[in-house]
Amino acid sequence: MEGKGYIQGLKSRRILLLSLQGLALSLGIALLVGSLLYYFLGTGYWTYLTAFVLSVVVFLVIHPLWKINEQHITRHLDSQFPELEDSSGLLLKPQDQLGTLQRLQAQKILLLLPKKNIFNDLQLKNWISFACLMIGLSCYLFIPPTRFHSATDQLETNNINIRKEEKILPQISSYSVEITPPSYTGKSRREQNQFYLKAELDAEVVWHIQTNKAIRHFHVFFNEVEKVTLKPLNQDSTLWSFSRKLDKQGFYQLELDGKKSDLYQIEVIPDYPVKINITQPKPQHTIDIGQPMQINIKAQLSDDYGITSAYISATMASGKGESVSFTEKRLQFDASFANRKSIALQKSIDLRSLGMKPGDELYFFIQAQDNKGQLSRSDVYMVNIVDTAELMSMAGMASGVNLVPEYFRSQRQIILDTEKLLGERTSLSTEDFNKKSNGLAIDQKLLRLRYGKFLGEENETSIGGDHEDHDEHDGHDHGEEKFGDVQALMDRYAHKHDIAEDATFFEPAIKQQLKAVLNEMWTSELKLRTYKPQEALPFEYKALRLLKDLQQKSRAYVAKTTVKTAALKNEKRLTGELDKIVEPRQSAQFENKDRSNEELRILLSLLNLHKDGRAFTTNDKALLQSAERQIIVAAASHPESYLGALKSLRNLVNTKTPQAKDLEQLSKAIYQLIGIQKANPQAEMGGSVKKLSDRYFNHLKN
Amino acid sequence: MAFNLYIWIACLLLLCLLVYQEIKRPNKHWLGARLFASLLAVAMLALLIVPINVNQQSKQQPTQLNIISAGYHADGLAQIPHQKYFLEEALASTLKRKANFIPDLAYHLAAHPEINNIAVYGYGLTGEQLKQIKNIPLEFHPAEKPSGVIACHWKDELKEGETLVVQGQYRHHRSKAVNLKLIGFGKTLDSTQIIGNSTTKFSFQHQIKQKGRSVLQLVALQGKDTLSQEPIPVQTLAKTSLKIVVLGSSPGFEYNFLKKWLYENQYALALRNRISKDKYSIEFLNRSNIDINRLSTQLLQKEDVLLLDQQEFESISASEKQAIKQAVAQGLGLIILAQEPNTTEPWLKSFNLAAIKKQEKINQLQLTSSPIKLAALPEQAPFSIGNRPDQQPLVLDGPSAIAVQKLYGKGKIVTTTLSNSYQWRLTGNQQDYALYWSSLLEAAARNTAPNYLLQTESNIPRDMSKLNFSLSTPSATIPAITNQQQSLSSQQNMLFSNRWQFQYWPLQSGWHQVAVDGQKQHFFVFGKENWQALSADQRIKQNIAYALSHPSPKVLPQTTIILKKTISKWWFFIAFVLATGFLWFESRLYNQN
Repeated sequence: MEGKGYIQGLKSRRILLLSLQGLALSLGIALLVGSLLYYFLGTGYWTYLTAFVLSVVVFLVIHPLWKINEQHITRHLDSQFPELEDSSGLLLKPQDQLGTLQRLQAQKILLLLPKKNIFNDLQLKNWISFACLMIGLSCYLFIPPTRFHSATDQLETNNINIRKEEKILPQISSYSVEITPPSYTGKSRREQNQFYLKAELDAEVVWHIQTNKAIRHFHVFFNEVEKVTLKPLNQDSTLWSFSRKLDKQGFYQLELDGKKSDLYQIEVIPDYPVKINITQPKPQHTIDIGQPMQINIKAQLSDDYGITSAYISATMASGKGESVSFTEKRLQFDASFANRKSIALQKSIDLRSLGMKPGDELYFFIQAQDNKGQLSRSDVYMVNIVDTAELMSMAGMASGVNLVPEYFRSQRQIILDTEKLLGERTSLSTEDFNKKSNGLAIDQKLLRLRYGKFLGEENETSIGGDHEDHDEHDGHDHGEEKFGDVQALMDRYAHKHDIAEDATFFEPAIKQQLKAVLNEMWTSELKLRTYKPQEALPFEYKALRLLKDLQQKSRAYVAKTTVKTAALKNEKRLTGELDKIVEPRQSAQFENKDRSNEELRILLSLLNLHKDGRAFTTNDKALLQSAERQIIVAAASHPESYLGALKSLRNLVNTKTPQAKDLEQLSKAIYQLIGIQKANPQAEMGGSVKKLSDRYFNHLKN
Repeated sequence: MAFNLYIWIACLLLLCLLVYQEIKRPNKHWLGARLFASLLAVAMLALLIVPINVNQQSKQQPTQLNIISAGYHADGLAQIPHQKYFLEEALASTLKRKANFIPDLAYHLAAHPEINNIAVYGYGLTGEQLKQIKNIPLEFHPAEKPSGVIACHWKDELKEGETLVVQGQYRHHRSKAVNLKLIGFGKTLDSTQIIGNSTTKFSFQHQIKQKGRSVLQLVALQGKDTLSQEPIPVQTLAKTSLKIVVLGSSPGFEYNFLKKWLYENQYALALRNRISKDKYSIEFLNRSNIDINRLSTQLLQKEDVLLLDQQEFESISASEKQAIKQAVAQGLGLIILAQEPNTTEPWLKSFNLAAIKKQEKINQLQLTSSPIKLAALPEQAPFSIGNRPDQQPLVLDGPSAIAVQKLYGKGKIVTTTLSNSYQWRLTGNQQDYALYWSSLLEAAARNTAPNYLLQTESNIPRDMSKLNFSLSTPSATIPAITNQQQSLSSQQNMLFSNRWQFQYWPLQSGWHQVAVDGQKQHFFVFGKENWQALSADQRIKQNIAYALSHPSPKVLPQTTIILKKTISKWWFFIAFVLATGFLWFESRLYNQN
């Protein structure tokens, strides 16, 4: 019997061990999987449960605990302990059924039954499951609750309004706030169970409040100034409701039979007008000759809730001087807006079809409207078309100062010749054409070199060229070279004359433009030399235009005047009789009526002194109350930064021992309210021993 | 002695009885061991009652006093072979049984006149203790330099709106960086980072906004751990107004805007503008009328600042000029708006005015008193002022000065060449305008003599320690000093009849108040926990300086002292328990067999 008891003990021990192992393993897996899912997908507690149940089931399938019986144990004993000589099964059989030999064997092995390390096979698994439990537990404890949530609109709006820690009057048994966003937002009505409000501008808010006893007077204060008295909805005076359209930020407070609630913040989400961002063209765009007469407008529009319409308002200016005429046109985009939040618009405008000629200018801007009806417009962009006829005209050249008339005429001549050459192209042989083109290129080069002189450039290779011919006229005596002398090394490769940039007496801006002219000429020369006069033409025109600008810049105009004044008699100056003239005398006293800033500054120091928990005196409280008025005003416009301070201030007035947290919050708000102090001159403190320092300083003089 | 003998006899009898019992016992197992155990047990029992003294030899230097002070590592104590003492009660817990406590160093030295050398370990003796040892040579073994704020200075009395500057040094031994912050009013006002293993200078700036007293905090943070938190008390001085006289050679924008600004800021202003020959337009703002047509020394002595332009200065009579000179020598501030570099007026000539070359771009003006640059004006100053050793620049235009200050007797003369400062107001830079004129007026204004000037003689006054004060009063009558309805007596300075000294023992840290002739004066007392690194550093420096000036002799006589030491009874008790335990266990173990 002893043997049977032993086996049964082992059986229950094994079942216990295995079930503990299974429990630990599945708990560990459940915690691990659950917390990982919670972190990445934001799932709830049901994942823990599911994972646990699943792993328990899997474990039970692998280790069917209910199948463990005595035979199972004896098999295990026989296989693990050879000293039992495969006879542990004998112990289970009743004594009287055993034969003599069997009985002897049973008695023999009874003494040999192992006491320790019976379930060695489970040891490793025990450790594994324990480790699994630990890992799961640590994941559960240390994975932070922050998670990446899929940002759907609905979810966000729910999250916005979640804010804990609201103090609610005990008389209120239940309440709800219903927010109806204005139609332009396209959002649906929502309800919340808290007094803190965050709503769109012009949203309609309805409060439903149920009290647990009859209330006689129910008031609501908005921004501490506006008082609303409510009427009960039922006869018991326990059901109350009021509504309001939110048009500005601020805070409100409920008062039930004289008992005031906490201050609740109202935050308003404003609707901004459409944002317009024109990416193409540039604010100032010039269409040179040869370029296509059209512009491509690309713009990016975005709004908080939706765009209803947008168009280009274009104004064309044509004509010169006094005969400028303007025509306005409205160009629609061929795109449907349909209350989209953001849209990329594109429109190509053919200037010719608008009736624009060379010399005309186009001003345009984009105007857009959002679904609230707010208009917004972009900056004004300008496009002008270069007038070639204007460049060719001689007007303005005959009169006035002309710095560089002869060279300038040459550039015009080159253009004329190029155009002529292009006209004659059909009648000329290719050889002649090429020759003439090359001739023009030589002219262009000469012209370029002449202008180059103004910039102090010396030889033809200066522009874009290098100094390959340097060695020939390098007459400097280099003397003995030293190894590692950087300056000497550099001298070898640098041509040290005056710096070309500084050699002339032009202003930097003019130099800049002159350089641009030379660049255009250089390109034009290149095109001519490669027998492409058609391609050279735009560059020639551009060079001409820049030159013309240069010429205009050097002009000044002074109108003649014809006013004549009588000559002064110097001997009579300052000899008038002044004895009857009364000297003006004024006296004034400045009265400073606004002491609020000073009071705030005194209060700031007072708050600091009360950090040790001393109670405020009556005088201090008067000061606190005067500060309260200013904080209320500030809180009405910026509730998010001053409402907390207002609450703290009320706490301070009402308690005997001021709390450090309240003091700190109020100090912070007052510190912000005071703002930057302007400098005020004040006398320095001198020493107190008069005579000694007087004598000392007066000895110093002279 | 007799008592001890009885004990021994009684124990001997007990031993005999036990031995007899042992021998008689039938079980002879381990008899020898049992006998030995009995003997041991009885002997230990006797020794538990009778004390045992052991003589110990130790080499001592009777002429040297070894003092352990704060900052010394308890682990290093064993390296000091001789008898050690400590002076600070706070060390009692760590040095218990390792060193002896001296409650009063002066008394100890008087009682042991043979002491002619003192060795100090740790941060060293305090200043008071160094005075007490009266030129006895000191051998100083400094502890590791303390880590923390080791130097810090700030002006504790500021004018309203003035910028508080807190400067100091931070020594940091660890490798991780430390954030040092100036915190007040629930906000971080300024902050800096101290890199690891370095001694770094820091400077914080904060414009004072409060009116009255307040305590800011200098907090050292490493990650989230606060390493130290030191209070920085500041108080604002009552606002003083200035009395200003302005004389203009002709009305102009500059005067008009200056007048308006001073008027709105409630300064007392008398303005006289010449509008024709001997005809003036006169205005008195925020003050009563005075006769301003003729300047006299008496008139000017009551004013703080006189502002006039160069043309007016050159056109006033010689006697008036003399009056101005006298008044300036006695403390009046003079501001001259220079208009022409070529002048015959000797005072202006001495300023070394010089036309400057026209610059391509207009510089932003820079005040020498603050790092802020003023907004650029549309026109630059027409000429600048050259360098001279006796003048100090106030406003700089690039490298050259356009406003300078110099001393003349007790008063100060300020000259500026800027004549279009009103354009700051027109362009909306009110702050720059205020800064510019504040710096000029402050540089010139007559110094106010404080009625009472109270100063503590220690830079870190602490609670529970003596505080020495020096007080300056306007007259030589004995001041009535009271603190919490108790009057404090003062001692007159021997050289200056209006200076007094008195003492005070603050019992608590925080703001304290004394009333001098009914006028309240506030001062701050720090607690023991504040500025520890700083005072430790100062102590080390003081002790090193003292040790250098009082070097100790190289060889000191050594004597051998025999010390009687009582052996702890716990040893005997343990042995007794072991012996009796063996007896009991042995009988238990072998009884069965």
